[in-house]
Amino acid sequence: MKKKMVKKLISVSLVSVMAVSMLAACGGGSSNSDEGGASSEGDSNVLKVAAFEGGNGAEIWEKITAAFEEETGCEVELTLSSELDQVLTKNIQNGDIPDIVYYNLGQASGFTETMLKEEAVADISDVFDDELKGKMLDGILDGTAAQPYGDGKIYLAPIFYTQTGFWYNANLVGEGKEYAVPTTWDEMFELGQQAKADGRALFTYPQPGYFDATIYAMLAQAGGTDFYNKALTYDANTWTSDEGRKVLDTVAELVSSDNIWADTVSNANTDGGFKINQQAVIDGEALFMPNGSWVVGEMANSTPADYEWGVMGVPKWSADEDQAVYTFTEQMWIPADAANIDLAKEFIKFMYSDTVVDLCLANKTTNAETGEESDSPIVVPVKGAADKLPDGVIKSSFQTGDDVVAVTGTWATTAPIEGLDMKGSVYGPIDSISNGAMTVDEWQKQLVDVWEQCANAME
Amino acid sequence: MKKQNLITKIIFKIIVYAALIAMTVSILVPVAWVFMASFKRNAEFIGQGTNPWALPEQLQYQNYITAFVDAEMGKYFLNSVIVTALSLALLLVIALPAAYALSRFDFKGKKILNIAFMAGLFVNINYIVVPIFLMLSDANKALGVEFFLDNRFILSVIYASSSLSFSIYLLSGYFKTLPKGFEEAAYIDGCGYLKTMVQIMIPMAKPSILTVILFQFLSFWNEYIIAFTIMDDNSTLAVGLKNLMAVERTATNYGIMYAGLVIVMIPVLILYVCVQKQLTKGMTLGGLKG
Amino acid sequence: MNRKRSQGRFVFFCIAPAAILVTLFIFIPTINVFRMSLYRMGGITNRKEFVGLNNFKSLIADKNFLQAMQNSIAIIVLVTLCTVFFAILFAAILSRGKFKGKNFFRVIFYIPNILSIVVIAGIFGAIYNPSTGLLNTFLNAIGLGSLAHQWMGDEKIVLYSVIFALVWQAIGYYMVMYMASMAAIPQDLYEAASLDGATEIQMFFRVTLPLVWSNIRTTLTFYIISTINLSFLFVQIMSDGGPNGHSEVFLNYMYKQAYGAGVYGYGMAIGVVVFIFSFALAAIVNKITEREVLEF
Repeated sequence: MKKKMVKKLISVSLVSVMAVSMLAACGGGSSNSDEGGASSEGDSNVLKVAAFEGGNGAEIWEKITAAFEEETGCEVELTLSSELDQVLTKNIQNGDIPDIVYYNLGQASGFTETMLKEEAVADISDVFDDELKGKMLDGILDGTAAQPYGDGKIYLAPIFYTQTGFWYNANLVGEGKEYAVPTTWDEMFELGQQAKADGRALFTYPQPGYFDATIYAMLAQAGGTDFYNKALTYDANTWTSDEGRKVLDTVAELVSSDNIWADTVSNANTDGGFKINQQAVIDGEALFMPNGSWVVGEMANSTPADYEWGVMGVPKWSADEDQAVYTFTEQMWIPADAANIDLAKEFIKFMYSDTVVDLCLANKTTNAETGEESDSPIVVPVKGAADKLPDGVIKSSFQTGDDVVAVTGTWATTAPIEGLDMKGSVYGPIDSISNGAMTVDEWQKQLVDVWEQCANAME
Repeated sequence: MKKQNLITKIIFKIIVYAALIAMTVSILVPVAWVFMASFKRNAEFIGQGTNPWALPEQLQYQNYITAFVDAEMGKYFLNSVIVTALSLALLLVIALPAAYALSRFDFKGKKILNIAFMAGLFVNINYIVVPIFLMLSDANKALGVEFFLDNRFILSVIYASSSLSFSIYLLSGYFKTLPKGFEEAAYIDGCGYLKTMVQIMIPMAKPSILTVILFQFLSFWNEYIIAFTIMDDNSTLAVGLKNLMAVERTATNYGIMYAGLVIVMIPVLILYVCVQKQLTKGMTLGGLKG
Repeated sequence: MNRKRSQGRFVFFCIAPAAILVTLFIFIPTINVFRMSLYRMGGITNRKEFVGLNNFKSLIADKNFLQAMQNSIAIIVLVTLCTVFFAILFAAILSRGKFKGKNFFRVIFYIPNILSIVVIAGIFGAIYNPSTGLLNTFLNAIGLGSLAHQWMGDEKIVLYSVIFALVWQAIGYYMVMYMASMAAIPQDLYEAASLDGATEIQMFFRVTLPLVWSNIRTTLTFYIISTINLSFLFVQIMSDGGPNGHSEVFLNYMYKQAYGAGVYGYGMAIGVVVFIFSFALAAIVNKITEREVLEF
C-alpha cells in the first residue's frame, strides 16, 4: 500500500529558536534540486521520506514525520510501502529520488546492499558529531552495519535496534518449569533428548535467513571479537579454522532430525510459512527458535492469553565464557543524489531526539482483523532508551551486564559478484543439512568458496 | 465371449469415471475451500489442532470489508475493467487486419514478417518490462510531460502489443482454413479489399475472434507485472491483490488474504459460467488448427 | 498492375500498425535486454560499465544457474509429457465415449486455467502445508498417513510438487483445445474403422492421434513458452526457489540476480540465454515431431 502524506506548514508561532536554524537548512538544500528530474513535483523544501512498512506498522512514521514538521516547519512527503524496494527502484530509475530512506540491510530484495554496491548512498559521518556519538550506545556505529565498506566512514544510520537470541516457550522452559534454561550447548542438546522423550522438538527456525544473527553471535562466541570482525571482512581461514568449524558443526547438530521440528523446512519454504514455525513454539511443539523482539507483536493474534515468551542468548560452548549477544539494527540512509541532503541529515539527527525516542517506545500496532491495538515498542539506540521499556520479556531481551559482549555488523559490502546470492549460499544449506541432503563438509566447502569470491571483490 | 467384453467395458467405464471424478474433486475442493477460508478468523488457520476442513466458527465477513478498504479494491476494479476492455478493443482492431493480410495474401517479405511475429511469442514479458518502463520514463523526460507512465491507455496499448503475436498466430491459422472462393466472389461483385475484409471475412472468423477475446480477457485481467511496474494510482485489480497479499503476508492475516483472492476470482468465475458455452464452442469451431 | 499496387497498399496498412507496436514494445525492449547483458550495472542508478561477454562467461561457471537450468528443463519436459498425456486421454474419453455429464467435466476441468496464478499459488499453499494442509490431513484421515510428505520441504519432492500444480492448471486448457480438433474429425472415419473391426483403443491410435497430431505439435510450442513463464510466477510466490535452490527456475533466478544481488546486467544475460534456449528448444521440438501431414 502506498500512502502519500503531505502536510502543510504548521503554525509559525510554534517555531522555536532552534527550529529557525533548521529552517535555514530547509532552504539550503536547493542547490542541486534540478537533479530531481521531471517528476520531482514541488520545490526542494519538501523532504521526501521513504519508509518501509513492516512489523512496526505505518503509524509510527506518520507520527515521527509530523513531529519533525512541527519542530522545523519543513514539509515532509512520506512514502510508505511494504514493497519499498520495488517502489523506490521504479522512482529512482524515473529520476524521482527520495531524500531519506528507511530500509534495512539483510532484506531478501537486497535493495540497500545494491544501493551501496552502486555507491549511491551518501557519506553521513558528519551527522555523528561527538555530542551525538556520546549519546548513542557504545559500539553501535563501529560495525559494518553502519560502516558497510569498513573504511571508517558512516553511511548507514542505525535508528532502531533489538537484541537477538533464542526465543522460547516460557510456559515450558524456565525455573520450576518442565525444562531448565540451558546456558551451554551441552545442556541445550541434553534438553533436546529430554524434549524428544516427551514428544517435543528442541528447535525450529522461521526461515534459514533467521540464522544470520545466530551465526554472527556464534562466530563471536567461538573466536572473540577480532576473529568475528575478520570473518565479516572475509578472512580466508574463517570456516576452516577450529572456531568456524565448531560453529558449523553445532548448527548442524541443532537442526539435525533429532532436534528439529519436522515441519520446519517445509514451512520455511512456503509463502507465509515462517509464522507457522513460530506458532510451533507457542504451541509447545518446539522449544526454541532464533528471533527478535518483533516476534511478540507479530504473533500477538494467535498467542493465547496465558502464554509467556522467554528469551536467552545463544548458548555458549563453556559456562565461564562471556556471552556474545548480537544486536540487530535497522538502518536509515540518504541517497547520494538526494536533493535535500542537509535537511535529510537534520532528520537523521532528529531520529535520536527524546521526542522520537518516546514516540517509538509508545508505539502500538493495530490488528487488521479485530482492530485491537497492542504494544509494540521500538527502541532507538541511545543510552537509557531500553531502560524505559515496561518490565516484561521485551525489556529482558535487551540484555546488559558485565559478561555480555554486544556484537554488531553484517557481512561487509563488496563489489557486485555475478551469480552470488549471499543469503542463499550462506544460510540456504541449513535447510539441506536439516534434511540430511547435505553434509557439514559440503557446507564448509561452499562457504570457503563464497568467502574467496567476496574477498576478491573487496579490493 | 460377449459377456467378457461387457465386463471389460464396465471396468473400463468405472476406471474412466474414477479418473474424471478424481480430477473434478481436485479442482472443486480447493476452490471451494478458498471460499470457505475467506470467512475464517486468523486463529483458525495457525496453531495446534486447527483443522483446515472445519467450517468457519462464524462468518467473518469483516475480512471482505478490510480487503476492500485496505487494498482499495473498488478503485482497482474499475481500472481493471477499463484497461481490459480497451486492450481487447485495440488488440482486435490491430490484430485482425494483420492476421488477415498475412494469411490471405502473397507478397514480398511475408515470410520474414511471419517469422518476426512468431519470434515475438518467445519474448517473455517478464524481462522486457524494465526496458519498457525506462523507455516510457525517457519519453516523459524528453517531452517534459507526465503522460506515458501511470496511464491506462498506454497500459492497454502495451497489453495489446504483448499479445499481438499470439493473436495473429491464432487468427491467421483460422483465416488459412477458409476457402479462397469467398474473396474471389466478393471481388467479382465489386467489393474492395477493405470491404471484403470487414464485411465478409472478419464476420466469418467470429468463432476464432471469440476465442481470442476470451483468452486475452483472462490474461489481461490477471496480469500484474507490467501493471505494477508502469502504473501507480491507476493500477489494476491484480496489483491490488498483490499489494494486499504483501501487506497481509507481513501481518499474515490469512482470512483477509483469502478474501482478496475471492474478490479477484469471482468476476472471472461469473464471466466463465456465462460464456463457457461460447468458449468451448468457439474452440470447437475456431480452435487451433496446426 | 494497378490492382497489384492497391493490394500492396492494402496489405501495408493492415500490417503496419501491428508491426509498429510489436517493434516498439517487444523488439526494441528485447534488443535493450541484449544490450544491457553486455554491461555490469546495478539497475537502480545509471552507473554502468561495458564488460563485453563477461556476464556470459560467469554464467557458464555459475552452479546456481546450472541448477536452475536443470530444474527448468525437468519442469518443461515433465509438465509437457504429463499434460499432453492426460489432456489427450480426457479429450478422447469425453469426445468419443458416451458418458453422462460430458459437458459438466469439460466446464469444471477448464476452471484452473481461468484463475490467476496468484490464486493458484494461494490454493497450493493451503494444499501442501505439512501439518494443516488439505493433502496431508486428507491422507491421514483416510488412513494413508504414511503417504503424507513434506511436499515443499523435501528436496527430492519439491520439484514434483511444483510440476503437479502446473499440470493441474494446464490439463483443462489443452484438453478443450484437443477436443476441438477431435470434433473436427469426420465421423465416417470412425465408422469405417469400426466396420474393419477396430476396437476403441485401436481407433484412438490409428484415427484420432494421427489426425490431431499437427494440433499437438502446435501446442508443444505453447507448453515451452507458458511453462517457463508460469513456473516462474508460481515458484516466485510459493517457494522462492527453496529449499536451498531445489525448486529454483531460471526466470526466478534471473529476477533474484537482477533485482536482489545488484547485478542487473548479469540478470539480463540470463534473460538472453532463456530467450535463445526457448527459441531453440521450440525449433528442435518442431523438427523432431515432423510427420507427414494427414488431411481429412
